[in-house]
Amino acid sequence: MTETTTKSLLSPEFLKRLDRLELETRRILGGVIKGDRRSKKKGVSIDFADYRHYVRGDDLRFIDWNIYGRLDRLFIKIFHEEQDLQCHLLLDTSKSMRFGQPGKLEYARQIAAGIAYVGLTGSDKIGISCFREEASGALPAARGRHNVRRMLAFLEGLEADGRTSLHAAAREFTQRVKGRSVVVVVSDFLDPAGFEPALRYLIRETLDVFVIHVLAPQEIRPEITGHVEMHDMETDHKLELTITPRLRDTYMRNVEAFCRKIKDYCVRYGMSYTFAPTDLPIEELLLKRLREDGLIKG
Amino acid sequence: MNFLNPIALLLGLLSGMIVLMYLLKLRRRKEEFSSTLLWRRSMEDLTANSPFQKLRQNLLMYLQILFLLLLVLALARPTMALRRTRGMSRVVLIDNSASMNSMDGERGRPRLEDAKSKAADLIGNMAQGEEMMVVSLGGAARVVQPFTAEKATLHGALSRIEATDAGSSIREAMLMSRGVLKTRPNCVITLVSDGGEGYLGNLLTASDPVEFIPVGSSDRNCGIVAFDLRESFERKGQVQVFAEVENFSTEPANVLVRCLVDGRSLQAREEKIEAKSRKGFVFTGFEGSSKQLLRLELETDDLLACDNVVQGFINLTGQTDVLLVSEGSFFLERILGLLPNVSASRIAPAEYQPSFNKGLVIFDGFAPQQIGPGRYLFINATPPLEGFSKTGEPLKNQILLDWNRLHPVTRFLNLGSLAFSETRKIQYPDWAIPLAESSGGALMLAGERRAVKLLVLNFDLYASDWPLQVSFPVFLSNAVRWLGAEAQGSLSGSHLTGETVALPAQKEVRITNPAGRGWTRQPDENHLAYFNETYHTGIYTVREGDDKEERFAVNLLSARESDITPRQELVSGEKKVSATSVRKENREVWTWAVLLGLLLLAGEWHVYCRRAWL
Repeated sequence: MTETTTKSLLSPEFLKRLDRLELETRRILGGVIKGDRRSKKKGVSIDFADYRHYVRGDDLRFIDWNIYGRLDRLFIKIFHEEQDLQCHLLLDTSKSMRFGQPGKLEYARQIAAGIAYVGLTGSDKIGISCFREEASGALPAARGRHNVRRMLAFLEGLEADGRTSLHAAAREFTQRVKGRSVVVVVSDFLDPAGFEPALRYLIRETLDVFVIHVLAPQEIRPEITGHVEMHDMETDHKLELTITPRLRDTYMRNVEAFCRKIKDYCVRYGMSYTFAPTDLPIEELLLKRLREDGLIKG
Repeated sequence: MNFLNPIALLLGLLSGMIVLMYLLKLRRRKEEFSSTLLWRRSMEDLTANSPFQKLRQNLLMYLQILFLLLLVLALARPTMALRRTRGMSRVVLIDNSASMNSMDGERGRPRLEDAKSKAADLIGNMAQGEEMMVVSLGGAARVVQPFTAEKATLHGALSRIEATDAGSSIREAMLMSRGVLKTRPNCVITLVSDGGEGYLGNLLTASDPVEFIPVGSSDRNCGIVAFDLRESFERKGQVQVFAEVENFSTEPANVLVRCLVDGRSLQAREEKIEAKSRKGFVFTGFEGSSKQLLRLELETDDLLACDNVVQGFINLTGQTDVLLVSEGSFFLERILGLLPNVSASRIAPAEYQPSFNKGLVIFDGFAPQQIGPGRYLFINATPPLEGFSKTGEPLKNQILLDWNRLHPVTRFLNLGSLAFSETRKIQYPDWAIPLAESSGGALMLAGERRAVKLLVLNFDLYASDWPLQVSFPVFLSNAVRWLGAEAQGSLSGSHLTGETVALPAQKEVRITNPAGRGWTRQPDENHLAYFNETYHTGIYTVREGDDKEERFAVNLLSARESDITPRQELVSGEKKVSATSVRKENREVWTWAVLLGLLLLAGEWHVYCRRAWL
């Protein structure tokens, strides 16, 4: 079952390549258990960090007796604490994600599967939340390779439906998730209310946010011309248009501006932005782009 | 409820345009897209960046304001100086007589086509509610189209007017139009013609609302205006042919006149005819026999063809029976007895019976109660026919003013010294024409109607010195020849265009004109079938049953029609009508404003449908 589901999302060869990778964060994040990852928090590990004076209550096991012998003072050895990583994937499953060839939801599922696979195989804690008007259909955070099957099955079962409401979904997510974690938002951000209120909820010291902006080539470079009655997939609004080359050019410039605006916002607030058109091979996205953007290493 | 302009209801069909717009709107292609967010923003950007952004934003409003202004304009009933007619109705008299066949119209087409074109302009300039009647004048006045305001119908009527080789009935048409004026005081009569003064006489008065639109540009024409034949007095069996050719042009013309019998050219003469003058041609010295077709052809470079050929059938047999109904007349009996091929007899008026009519009947100072078909000479008697009557007291001391020198009866007569003691004013019908007139009215009348052909002398022969003059036997000879048209030594079966031909027939006859068009006619109780469709020159064939076939010829022989000199003004009595072009007058144009408004409404709908004018 695992093999079948995994195959449908990511090829076995690709999964093998993902095996060598692990998730990375640019911030000091604290997991509940000690993991494989060196945190900036000083703690117990084999990586020496610094010395400090002994104060009452410190663990006597970390006193450097060699220093005491030479200087007759008590110093405590400080080590980098290695911790596990909590990663939450926020996946847009609104109706607009059905659009495109290949479909945006399909692509977003592949992204989520790839990141989750990397995380689970690296003993990180991975949780997946789908959002439409609110975060729904969440897969509780879990750790360990044995959860890969469950995670992939969950992703396979996702359907695009309803309207995008990033704002409501982000608010609901921040209320639910406590502690430090990496948040990966995969969405087309085509929310009539705008993306800023939602991302603003995610601007927290405890969260390292990666924004993956998924758009279909048909949205970036549409080939529609003439008199059309355009139906909005999410809102069902109708827009009567006469698409001339001039209007199409303006639209394409607006798409570029829209993407640039999200990127600028992310940069300003310390988030990572990755543009992911669905005609970009998933391998290139996961192995190259997300590596460059610091979400994946290895 | 009535509608003053029911045609306007047709504008309701414009609703179809609106339905069409709806259909066109439904034809927008449906496209599903992830989000219209960016498309809407793009439209806004494009509109915002447009230099006419404000105008475009308010285009619908401007269109609606414009529509409102047009409606207001229509309500103000605007007028413009446009080409139009003077009255609310118009009688257009289209001259399609023989002279209108002259080929000096625009681009070498006949004058009639020019006349139709000018009449079409009149139709095009008709105002709303204005009505027009179309009358043709060739041969007889015919109402081609009664009053109507429908332009298409009027154009159709114009196209139905055919060219004829007949004279103009402008007088008859004017009289008819005057009758119209009584019921339509705001009516104007427009004559589209190349002339017509000769026909009108003194008919028009100063108050007649007549317009004259002239056609024609050249007077270059020569035509045969007289044609006759007689058997030679010297040699039995030989015929003498007389013809007169007139040059109506202001330039001399060279003409060749050829005489043909049954298609065989016998003689030809070439002459030069001075401008505005006439020359006689006599062809003699050839044998002829009855029923042979005699044809004269005039070859010259002119514009009218139908007067260049005359035809007739030679008649050398029989004699004329003359019945004199008189108490006794020395002069008449003696002269009739001297005329060749005339068999005269006399009876007293009391003995006269209508059944006696065989040839020519001369009533001398006596008129019967009624007369049947036949040929008559009334001397000092009033024909018992409708239209003839004598009024007033005898007029004394009258003098002869003038006489017709062209008519076959008065031709070669010199009546200048005629003296008579008294006459009476005589009323006569239109079909009779005066051949001689005194200060008290007509002295001599000639006429032909249906099967009656007559001459009237309106004075007492015996109270004048005419019987003692040389002209009297000449007159009597001419009269017998003219009245006895079937007598020997003459042309038989030769008629003028527009003339009614009485055809002897026992049963239905079928007449075919030179163009091959046929008519059937039933004979009346006198065994005569009347045929009046003689509007074209040429040979007509009359077939009675399967075996009997006769022919007759129709010729123009009209100096009035051959004189194609175009006139720039029409003079009739005290009326002088200058050439009129179609005039410009104020005309209401509110309908245009409404039409424009409706178009605008459709445009506004289109703009609304497109929403974004990008």
